Amino acid sequence: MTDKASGQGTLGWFLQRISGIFLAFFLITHLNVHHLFHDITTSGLINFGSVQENLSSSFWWQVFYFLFVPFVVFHALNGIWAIIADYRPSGNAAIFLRAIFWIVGLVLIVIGAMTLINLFGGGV
Amino acid sequence: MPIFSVFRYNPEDGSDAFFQEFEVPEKKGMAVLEGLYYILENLDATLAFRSSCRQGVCGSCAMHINGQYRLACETQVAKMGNFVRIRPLAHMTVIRDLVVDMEPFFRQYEAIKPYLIPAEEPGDREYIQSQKDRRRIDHYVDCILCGACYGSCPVVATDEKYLGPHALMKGLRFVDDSRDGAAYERLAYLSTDNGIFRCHTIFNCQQVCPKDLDPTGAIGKLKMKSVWAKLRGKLPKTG
Ligand code: FES
Repeated sequence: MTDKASGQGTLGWFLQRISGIFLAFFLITHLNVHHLFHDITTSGLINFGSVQENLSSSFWWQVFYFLFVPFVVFHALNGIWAIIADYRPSGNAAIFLRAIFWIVGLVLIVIGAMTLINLFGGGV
Repeated sequence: MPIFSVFRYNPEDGSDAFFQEFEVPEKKGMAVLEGLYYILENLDATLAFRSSCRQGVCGSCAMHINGQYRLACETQVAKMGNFVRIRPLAHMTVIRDLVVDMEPFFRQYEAIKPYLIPAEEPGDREYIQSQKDRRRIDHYVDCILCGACYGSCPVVATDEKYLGPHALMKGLRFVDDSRDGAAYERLAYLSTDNGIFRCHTIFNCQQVCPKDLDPTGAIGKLKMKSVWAKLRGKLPKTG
């Protein structure tokens, strides 16, 4: 198998599935906790304060959301990358696009983390 | 009398492609291929198409018949109704009428090294294979390389480097063969950007396969095998 071919897609494909399964779990939990079973007659309207209170109840909510953000970002960007790969960007274009994806991904994770720090730190 | 509407194209006379209609007298149990022979022998001797065995074994006569890729020799005219529209296989250059240039198809097939690569020097006796081991590849050995899956695959349509359902399924045929010694090298090659991970599980190939094989499922199996090999650190690097 010496024919010239580019890199392998095994890991990207696998991680896309794994992150997808995690996201299903994250999303169902998130919806359950914040939206589906929220009874406004007893708990009042959902707002920043109520969410903040809800989530401060356990340290594990912090772990949960700090994991949620990178998983979403990875799954989204890796998915777009899979579409781009179908169009076979040339070597340089692929390197350039990958760099952009890394930058966008890191920026999004930092923004998400800052929001969460704010939320859990008690700020508004 | 069924009407055969046949794709005609002759690059040598410089005219555009068109559909030509022929009236073909129907006989009981008549296959589409027989209809094409009737046209060739009685109505228009310039019609070009491929065929050989007339019994679904050689894979020469795959074409697009009434909305689906089929073997002309295995398709009953009676089941097609009174109007039979025939086009050549897609995604390959038409040489003339229903004959396409299969070169890309066989180039992709060759790329997966469709022959045994034994782990050791071959001895002077035949390789022993248990019936159980043989049954694992039974399904894939049946492929007759007709090109129906290749013509139906939308990924092939947009990406000429994609190996295609036929080559990938034959890849599994050798990965799963107990006599073959190059499974990981094969998996590594099949996992590149030309291979299994470009498949979007569209199932066209499985739907059209005249031998009722399952290239989509085979590609799925290869993906899992590739992942396991990768996780166990056995997948050689490529490129
Ligand atoms: S003529 Fe051989 S498969 Fe149809």
